[in-house]
Amino acid sequence: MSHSPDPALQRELLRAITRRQLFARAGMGLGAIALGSLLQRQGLGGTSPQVRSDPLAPKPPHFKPRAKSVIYLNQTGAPSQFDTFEKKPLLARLDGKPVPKEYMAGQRFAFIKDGEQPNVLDSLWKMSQHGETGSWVSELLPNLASVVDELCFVRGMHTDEINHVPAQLFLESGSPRMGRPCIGSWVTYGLGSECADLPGFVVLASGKAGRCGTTCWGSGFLPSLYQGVQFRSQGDPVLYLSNPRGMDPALRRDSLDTIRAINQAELARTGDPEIETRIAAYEMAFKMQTSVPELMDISSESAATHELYGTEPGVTSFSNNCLLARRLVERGVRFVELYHGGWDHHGGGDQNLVTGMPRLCKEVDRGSMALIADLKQRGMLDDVLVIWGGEFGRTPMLQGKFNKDDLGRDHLRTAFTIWMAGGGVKRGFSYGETDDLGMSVVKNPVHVHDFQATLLHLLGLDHLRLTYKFQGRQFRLTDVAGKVVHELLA
Amino acid sequence: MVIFGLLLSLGALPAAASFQEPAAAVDFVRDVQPIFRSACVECHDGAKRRGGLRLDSKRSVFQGGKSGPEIVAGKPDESNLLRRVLGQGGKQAMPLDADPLEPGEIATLRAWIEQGAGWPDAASDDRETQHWAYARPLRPVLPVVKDVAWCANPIDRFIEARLEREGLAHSPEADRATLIRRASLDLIGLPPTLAEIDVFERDKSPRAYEDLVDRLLASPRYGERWARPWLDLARYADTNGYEKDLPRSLWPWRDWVIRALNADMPFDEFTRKQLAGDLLPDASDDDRIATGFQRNTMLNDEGGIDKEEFRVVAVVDRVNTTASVWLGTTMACCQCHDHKFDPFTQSEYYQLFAFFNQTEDVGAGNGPEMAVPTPEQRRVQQDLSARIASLASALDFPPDAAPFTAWQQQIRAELGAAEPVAGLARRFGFEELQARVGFLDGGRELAFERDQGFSYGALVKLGKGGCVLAKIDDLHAYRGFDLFANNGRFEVHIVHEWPSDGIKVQTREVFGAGFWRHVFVSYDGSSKAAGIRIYLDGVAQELEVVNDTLTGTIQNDVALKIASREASGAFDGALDEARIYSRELGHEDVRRVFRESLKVILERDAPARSEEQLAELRAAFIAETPELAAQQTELAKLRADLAGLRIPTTMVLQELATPRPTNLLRRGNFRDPGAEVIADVPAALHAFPDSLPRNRLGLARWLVDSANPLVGRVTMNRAWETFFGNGLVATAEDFGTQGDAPTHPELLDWLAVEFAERGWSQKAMHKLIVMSSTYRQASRVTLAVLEKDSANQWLSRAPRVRLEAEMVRDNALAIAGLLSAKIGGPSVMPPQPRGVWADSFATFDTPDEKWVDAMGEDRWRRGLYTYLRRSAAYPSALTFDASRRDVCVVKRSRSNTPLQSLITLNDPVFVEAAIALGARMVREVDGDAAARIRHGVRLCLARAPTAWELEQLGGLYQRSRAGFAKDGGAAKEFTQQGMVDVAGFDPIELAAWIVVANVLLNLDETITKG
Repeated sequence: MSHSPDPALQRELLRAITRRQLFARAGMGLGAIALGSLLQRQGLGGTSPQVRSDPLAPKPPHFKPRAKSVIYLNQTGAPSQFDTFEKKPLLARLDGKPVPKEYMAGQRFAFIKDGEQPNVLDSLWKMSQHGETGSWVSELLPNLASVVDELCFVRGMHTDEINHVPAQLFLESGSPRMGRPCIGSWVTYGLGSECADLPGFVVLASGKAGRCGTTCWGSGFLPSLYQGVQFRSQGDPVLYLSNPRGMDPALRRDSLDTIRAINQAELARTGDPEIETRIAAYEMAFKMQTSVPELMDISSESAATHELYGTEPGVTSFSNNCLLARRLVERGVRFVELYHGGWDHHGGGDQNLVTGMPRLCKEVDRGSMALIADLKQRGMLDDVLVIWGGEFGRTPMLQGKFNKDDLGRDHLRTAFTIWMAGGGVKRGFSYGETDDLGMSVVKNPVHVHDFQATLLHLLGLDHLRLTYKFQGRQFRLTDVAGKVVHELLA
Repeated sequence: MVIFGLLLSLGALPAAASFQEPAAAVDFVRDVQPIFRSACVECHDGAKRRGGLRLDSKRSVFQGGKSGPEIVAGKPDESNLLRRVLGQGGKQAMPLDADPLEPGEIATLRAWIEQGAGWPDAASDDRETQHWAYARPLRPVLPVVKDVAWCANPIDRFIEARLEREGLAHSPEADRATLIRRASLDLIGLPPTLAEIDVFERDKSPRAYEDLVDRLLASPRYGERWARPWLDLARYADTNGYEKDLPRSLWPWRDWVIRALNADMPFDEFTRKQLAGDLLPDASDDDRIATGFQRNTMLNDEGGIDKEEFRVVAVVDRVNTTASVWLGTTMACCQCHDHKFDPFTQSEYYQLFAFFNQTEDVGAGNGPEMAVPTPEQRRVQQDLSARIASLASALDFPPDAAPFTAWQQQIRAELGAAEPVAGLARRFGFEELQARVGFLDGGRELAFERDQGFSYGALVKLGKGGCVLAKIDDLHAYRGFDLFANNGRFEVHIVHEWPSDGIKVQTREVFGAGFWRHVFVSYDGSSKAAGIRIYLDGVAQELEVVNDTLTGTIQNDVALKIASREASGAFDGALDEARIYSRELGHEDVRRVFRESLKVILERDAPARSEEQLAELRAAFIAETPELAAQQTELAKLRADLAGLRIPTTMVLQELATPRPTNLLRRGNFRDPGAEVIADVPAALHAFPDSLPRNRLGLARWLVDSANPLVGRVTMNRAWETFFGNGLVATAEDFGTQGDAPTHPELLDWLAVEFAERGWSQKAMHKLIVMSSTYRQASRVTLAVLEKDSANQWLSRAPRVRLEAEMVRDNALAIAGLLSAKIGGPSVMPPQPRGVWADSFATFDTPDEKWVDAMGEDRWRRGLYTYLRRSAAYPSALTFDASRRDVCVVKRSRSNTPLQSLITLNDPVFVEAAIALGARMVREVDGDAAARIRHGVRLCLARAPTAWELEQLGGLYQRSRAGFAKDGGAAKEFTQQGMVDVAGFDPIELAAWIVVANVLLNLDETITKG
């Protein structure tokens, strides 16, 4: 394995060895053939039904968790807060006028150059207040507006990075550079998986996922078994899941029985406990061949559910993925990450805010609402933390020249809005404030590392203690920073 | 160490886990030490000892610093430590200048003290002497052992001595089949052939094993196998990383590594060439190729980035990688602050940085690159270059040559006399010529319809080409019109909806890059391809019609753009005088437009013209002078031939002509420079000799200086890890104070000293290791031994380890007889599931950069040649713990998971291997089922099957055959997937054997080195 495992991992290891020693002792006197048949009678792989001692077995959290699992609706490319949830009257007053200089001091943008003073751009869409909380929601998100009282808005988010890949890595792994584990990997490493026949960390993508490809759900320096497993809506739902053409399940079962029998004889001959792990891995693989297609088949859901989500079996859509996310957490999957890209509205072509924003909002509006409503009606919302947001915000002023048919906003590092729901955060709550232009946070800022610390806290993990030793140093998701934002907790 | 994979329970989950409340029993290592480490040791460590106190040392805490003992066990309120973190006693709360401890943390400290302040000695760092790794290794005396006879060479003396001390016995020598398989997998990464096994098993001479080892070391496969770990260190990939993740060509460097390893290039030379080959006296092409090692850093081609930021990131990566590979040291911490644990400061970090901060490459774009022609290409290249030079000199007349100036006068006179060509709608004069423009937005005003005549074009100097001029909506079926340069041909598209409703024509001739042409399109409003003309320098070109189906409107709402389409097709090259006319121009009109386009230049005084403007004039003069034009055409053809050679390139380091000053970067922020530093090495390590230059070459020499205490140990430790699964220092990436201590310190020193004395020969050291009795032991383990040494750190047996990612695949392909023997060349694309590259954010633009499953030999090349795209790496390799190659990886993790099982069972690569192995078992054995099984088992495991195994596999064969006999269609489908030729086989018989082969390829023993 990699490097020096942490003490917890080492304890797991010793427990496993002890159990395996007993196992090997029973086997050695009996001879290979007898052992093989004995184990076949015992059941798959010979693992006893009550004990799991692998690194993915459930592990105790540091303290009582508020959420059991997470569904992260990752809006990559960064949606504009001003056209979704942020109402700033000053935008209307300054619309079309140069942004006041004082707001530009110390700012750094990706495309707007130092010294430029672009015009302020008010939202092109009507914002109105909804629910008992009177939260502002754009007319582009009518469905989401109906569940707004369930949401916990974090309006003072800020990050360190101004470009997509570094900012996405920063949000996912606490570092803007490659090589660190992402949140889902940390969580799976810290808590293991409650699910016996599905991976603990599942990724779903509608359209393009993150800007750094599969690195977004990579396990960095953590062992690769903690990396996210992508479930695909086209082709094999998990890569290489299907048997070769012409091989029926019975023949596969027969082959696996033969593999297992010979591997067990090998175990008896060599005494290498690692063989037992491989035997179990083959049994899990076989079970996944059934459990994954069953999970992906949403046709068994009721008509009411399909109506709620706007789902359509067999297509790739955000709504379908929202429904799949619910099915996954229902089965005990710890961390589900949905990617929906395309929010990078700089102007021009696909990136035109005027046409792109309504399209993207329509793509995610119903599924986002349905997920909240569905989890709630099933009594699951208290245990599942739902997060919705991008990697940074967008500017209150436009990027480039004004053209009423084609507008855009640049990246904004210093302020953006996300929301969370369920899983131990306050209902109908809003935290943090930005200045009148929405350019910078003036009250209750939440840095990306604070957000990560809070997320771990909700799962019962102390971000200071969830560490992994690598290159002589105890690494954490929150690097050397991060504070739990207790005000967000219910 | 092993990692246990994804084991799963079959029944109910355990009851809800218990919570770790602070009041529960506090464990120092788990609960307290992390608090000390995160909040205290930055100041209170062995190096800084603020207040005379170390919080990483038990002794120091209980003895206390200047304020006396910090802890009174059992009495938290009397303990100074607790008072200080609570801010009591009128002093500022600890930690200073940082966030106070959380209430939970303070509660933990209190509970710990209350419970007696237990602190295991093992978790205390009381060392005061120099860290072992920074002391120069000396040749140790060989230890005395009881069983001298067992010891084949000095390595065994160290191992045996420790075994005797631990009360463990070494294992007997492994059998011959195991030995040849193990040595083959370790030294060449491939299993032995049956003939090789036969020879070895029959060879009774005492030299049999040594002969085997010598043969393997001499095999060209050795370099391929040992390149793999080096490529992980170097973070070798075929793309740039980050968002765009564009292709790069660095495989000539990868091939250089293979050649160097095969030639057993001494490790010091191997080092100097890769870090500074370009700076060697009389550097050869090969020496410059070697510098690709440090060009493996990522490049960010994302829009809106600051290139300097990512140049700095790349240099940082070079420092960190160099420290990891040659010093076993993690320098990354010092990028932002002094190292907390090891004796390195932030200034020293930037002093090392200064060595690498002197190259021309920037944070985006692949340059500098060098051409790497094959010998044949080199010959053709020389020939073409000579002819090009002679033609070019003929065309290189002086600017004041009489015919040239006369021609200019004539044109000027003509232009003065004539009216401008009528119908000019837009003109982009680039008042000052903009070479390599981004693009120009021409607005939306012009909105031609398909029934109107119109004309457009520009003066064009091609680079790679792209869109010259367009008002085309490439995101919506390409509605609109454009002029596009594609691989030297000019193309015109006039489109309603591509491809069902639109026109496309292209020039038949291919035009060379690098000189100016006037390119103009006229269209007559007929909606027909025949209504389009393309003129070059006023001469109508022969056109090919690709599409001719226009019936719908061509109006759109995108902007007119120069040098780009709406969203893609960025032009590479230079443009001038782009013009659009709202009518169809005739031949003579276009000739006049050509001349009008020169007007701005002609009106300038000759000395005021820029170099490009002079080039434009020259090009026009040549085009209008028939004998020169003919030479120009010939020249263009030769240049196209030269470009068409497709000479491979490789990325290299190129030292700057003027050194770049280096500053310390505060908190590692490239926008916050501190004091300037000069290139130097850390004071804690051996000194930098005055005789060496303070550049990369000097640094490379310093790294492999015999005074370096680390390089030999670190390199030998990595080799040991490759053979034994774990290094003598388990933390191969960290020899610092936080790393593990060596299990056999004397052996490590002995290997390091021996390595240098044997002229840094890696092959010599590899031979020593595999010739040792330690290496040749059997791997079987008993329960008693497992209890004493479960991790096998004392090596009383040979390790059993899963094959590494590339080897899992190579092994299967070799067993199947499919593996290609071709060494080197561009990376290849074996079958991979559709859609994997869709996970990358950016799509490559050209077809030859898309993933296309190889159909020929490249389908079955060794794994190290598989194309590695960083943002969507080859998925099956990743699942087997291969590196993504984003950063330097010293040691891969080693897991066993269900996703791996799915790969070896179902991945088409492994299915093809099963088909080929099944076919081998049928084709190569003329006999009964048992004989065929014996053949298959020997191919996979190098040993014969047991009677019981024969029975198991025979039963499976019988049942499979019976099953397929009932369903011949399934048998056909099963045998005929993939590219393996199964003509002439009985599908039912073959199908049954493929099932057996699939099982054999999935056995633990097949994918494990035992």
